[in-house]
Amino acid sequence: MSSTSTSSGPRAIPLPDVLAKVEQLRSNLNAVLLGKEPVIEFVLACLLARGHLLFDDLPGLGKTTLAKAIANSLGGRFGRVQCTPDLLPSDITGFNIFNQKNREFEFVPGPVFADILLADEINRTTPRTQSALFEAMAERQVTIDSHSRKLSESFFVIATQNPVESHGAYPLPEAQLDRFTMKLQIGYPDRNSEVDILGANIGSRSFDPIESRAVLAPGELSEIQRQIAGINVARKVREYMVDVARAIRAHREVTLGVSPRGLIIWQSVSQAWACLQGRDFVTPDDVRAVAEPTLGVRIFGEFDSAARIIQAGFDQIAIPT
Amino acid sequence: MRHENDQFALTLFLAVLAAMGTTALRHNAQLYPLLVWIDWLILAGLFAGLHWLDKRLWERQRLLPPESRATLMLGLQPATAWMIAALACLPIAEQFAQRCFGLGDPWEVVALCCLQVASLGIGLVAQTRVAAGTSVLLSSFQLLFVSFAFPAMIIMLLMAIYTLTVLWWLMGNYWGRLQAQLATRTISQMPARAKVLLPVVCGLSLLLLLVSLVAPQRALVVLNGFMPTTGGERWGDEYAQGGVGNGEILTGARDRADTVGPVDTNVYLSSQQPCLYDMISEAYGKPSKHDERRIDVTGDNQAEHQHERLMERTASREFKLQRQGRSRKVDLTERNSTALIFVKGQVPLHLRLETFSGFDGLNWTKPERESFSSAEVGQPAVRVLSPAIRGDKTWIELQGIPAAPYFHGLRQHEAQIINLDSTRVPAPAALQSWYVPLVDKLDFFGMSDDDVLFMPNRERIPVLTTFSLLSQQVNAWELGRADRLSSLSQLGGNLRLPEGRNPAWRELAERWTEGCWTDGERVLRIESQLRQSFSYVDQAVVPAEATSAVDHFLASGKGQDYLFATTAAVLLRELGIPARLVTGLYADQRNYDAKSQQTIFWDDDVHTWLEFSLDGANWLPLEPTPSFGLPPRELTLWQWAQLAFWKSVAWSWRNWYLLVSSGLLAGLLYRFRGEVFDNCGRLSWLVARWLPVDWQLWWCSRWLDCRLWLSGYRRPQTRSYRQWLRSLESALEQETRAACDRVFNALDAMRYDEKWEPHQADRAAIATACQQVFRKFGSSFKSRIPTPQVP
Repeated sequence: MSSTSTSSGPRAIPLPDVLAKVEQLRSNLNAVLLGKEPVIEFVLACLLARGHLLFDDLPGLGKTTLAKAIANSLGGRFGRVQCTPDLLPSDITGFNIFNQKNREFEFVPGPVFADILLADEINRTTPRTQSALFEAMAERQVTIDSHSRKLSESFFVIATQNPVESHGAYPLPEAQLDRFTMKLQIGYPDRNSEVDILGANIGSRSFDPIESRAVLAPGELSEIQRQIAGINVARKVREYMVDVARAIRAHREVTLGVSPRGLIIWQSVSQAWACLQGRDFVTPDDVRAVAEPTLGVRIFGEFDSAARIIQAGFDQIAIPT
Repeated sequence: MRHENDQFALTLFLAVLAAMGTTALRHNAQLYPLLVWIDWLILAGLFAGLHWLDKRLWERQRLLPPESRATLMLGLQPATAWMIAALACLPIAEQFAQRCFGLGDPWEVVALCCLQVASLGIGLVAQTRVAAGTSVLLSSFQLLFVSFAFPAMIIMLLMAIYTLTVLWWLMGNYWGRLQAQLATRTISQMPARAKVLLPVVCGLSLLLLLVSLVAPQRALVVLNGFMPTTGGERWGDEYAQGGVGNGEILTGARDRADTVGPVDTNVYLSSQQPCLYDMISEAYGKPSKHDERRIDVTGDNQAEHQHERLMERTASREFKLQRQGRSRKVDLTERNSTALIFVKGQVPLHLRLETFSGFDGLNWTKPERESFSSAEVGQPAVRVLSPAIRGDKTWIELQGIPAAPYFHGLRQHEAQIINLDSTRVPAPAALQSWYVPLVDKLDFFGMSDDDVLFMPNRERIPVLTTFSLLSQQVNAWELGRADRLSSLSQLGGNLRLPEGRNPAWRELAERWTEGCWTDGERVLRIESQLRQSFSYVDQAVVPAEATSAVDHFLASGKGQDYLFATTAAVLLRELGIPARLVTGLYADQRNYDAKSQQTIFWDDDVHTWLEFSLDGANWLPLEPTPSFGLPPRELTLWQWAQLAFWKSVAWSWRNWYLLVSSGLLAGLLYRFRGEVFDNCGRLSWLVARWLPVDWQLWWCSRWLDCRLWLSGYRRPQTRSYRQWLRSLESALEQETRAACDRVFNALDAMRYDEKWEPHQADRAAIATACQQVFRKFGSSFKSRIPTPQVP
């Protein structure tokens, strides 16, 4: 375990401090989402890797609660979009409105200008609206009437899609799914956690999340993200990742494998994971740990379980020594 | 994809078939067949290496889609081609090495081996059609050449299988085209390919049939000048061992008279000595011309030789036991001795020249002119010779030999007399029949009183006379179960012992044969006891003042071969088994000359042994002298197995304590192998702790791998230590888990942190963690794991 900082920038935060702040963030999130420590770890990794998250889950499992807790912990603004088939792109990005009083066009920012955006049931809105969101996710800016506006530095999207309801849905195509860093499923909590959830909600009529105090100063998250992006990935580990990706591509049940963009995202998440373990270098264990959520969103074919395909890919490549 | 894989598997199969043909040819021609198998082992090892290399280098590239793979293969083909070319030159290098030791193969066989390696190598790595085609071409040529050079049944069988497989392979290669052809035709017609193939196949079969009917001896004609051959009419290769006919007359080739190897050319004799044929026709002087050899067997001077039992002329009638020391045998290449006989056939071989029956304590004498009694008492047995026609040869058989249960089959030797100044024919014991080319008259031969075949009315046996000798093959198992006939006491001469002999001889004989059930067993026991308990010393002689050679030998414990034979003979006679001394020639594998494929009997190969009889008529050799080979006694596989079983039972009975203790030790070692291994690991850590940090970590990880493997929980290469041990967590104590964690962290840093430096690492902490792993990660955890689980 190295005690040095992850990079030698002018405002470099030492790794122990990074870890301490991350620990606070973790405890905040675990406080609102009981019994889901592994999911919280992946969420943190996604956040630190500067990626966007997709929840493919049933309703009422705490996705909104989680998103609000993240926003509160980062001291940022929380935005929410409920995607419906009649949602317009401008409902997401914002629009210019003519102010009668000032006789000028005013820009009304859409929810996309929040720090944390929750896009619920994204597979229910039209592809045009979906693409408006994805453009914002990818470029971190929106262009309205030829005028580009930058989004927040720590812009983080949590999209959800409901696997059960498919009536009138516009399923996300593969190219769009590739823009998400990872796909997670929260799942039902265990019995004890459910009991604790009920206990925590006694005396409260609303399902508002517990107010979490901010643990990161503004701009600190992006600094941490920048440092994490500089974490050392040895050549043999990179080769390992590439070999596994190729093995998955060559799998006979896979029609569309991991793209180079997907590989880059996978590497970023591995770096974030290594940082979460307290290291400033990536090991094959980190690569393996984040493989399923990261690769599961971007491999397509006639298989029932992406985990099986990913495991088959790993089973063909020896651990680098 | 599967079709392609099948095609490539077929290519390899064809290459293997051709390699089998080449191996059969080499096995037949090579002096030491073991070399052929060693070659195969080396080849197998090399190909295993090639296959491993192939997998390692191109495993990842194989994950590419087939189109990209083809492109890549084109780029990698030069490297493979160079590798296979290098491998194909290996047989040449091996040949040079072999020739340094006097062994070797003809160069055609070496060329075949190179082709074999090339076709196998290409077949193994072939991924494109061109490479597969090359491999099949090479293997086809190989098998075709082998079929010309070695037309044996196995080759014919291989050819048949090969032809069918190649046709199948060709069809597979062009299956696409065939299918398209079939699909476009609306009327049912044979495809174009079959129209061509069928008449070709029929024509070839007809040709083969004609040739095999017309010329059965030379069914496959060698195309002169087209197919290279060794031996034959023009050129003799000293390494050509087989594939050419072995003539009855084992003499040299036309242009190279110094070779005595078997060749299928006309005979060439440059000797001035009178030959057998000249003697018959009384034409002395220069030998007759090559194609005018005549044998005058109906001449007038034959009449008095008919139906006559003939007397021999022997040099001596006595064999003294008090002799000078024997000169040491020198190396085959340095000796100045004269070659007496060349023999083809199984060695070691005892060739009988004289036998002695009477023994007075110091000297052996030949038997009187008494007849040999058969099983019938008082009936003189006449050794009657009679002709026996076998094929186109007239053999001469010894009649009147009773059958014995310990004779199984016959063995044949060919003996060519070079320089033997005697009329006695050196022949193995239990001779049944013999054959001399073109000689079928019975009165050329006779049996002497001491039971030796000889040629009467001659000065000596003509030079270069070749005898084919058939003798009975002894079965060791049956011999061990045979008993002597009760009527043998009438055989006076061969049972008589010197008067006033030492009674200790009888005691010794009975003591040595204690526990033996049969006389055959007793005989073999005496032979083995003498071989084990006494030593053969060239210079140990019986002094002049000794009164009994046997007593002197038994007291001193060493002696020459005749003392061994004498002692064995008297001991057998004490047990009531007739025995006689035999002098003659002995040779074993050391006298074998690889170039001529014959064993040479030199004039200092004179040797003394003994013969015994269990029925008074059949005499079997016994070799009691150590460092001389035993006479061949065959065993069938089942008999050998039984013998081995009983020997092992007997040995186990005698050495039960050794068995029990080693079994206990082995059991304990197996039961506590984990603990033993752990303690070895801990001991090794005492040394490893002084190594640099990275070595310590490496050593710890290696030991951990071995430990897991020993527990039946081998870590796959696709799993990291942490992943694999996660499933073991329940079986490990907290302290062990923590130590493992520390070691794995350090290992990860060493392997994956490019900024890691050994001197920066916390050496003490790492050493402590490694030591804990060595100490804690022992066999104790194994008992807690029900079965190894794959995470």
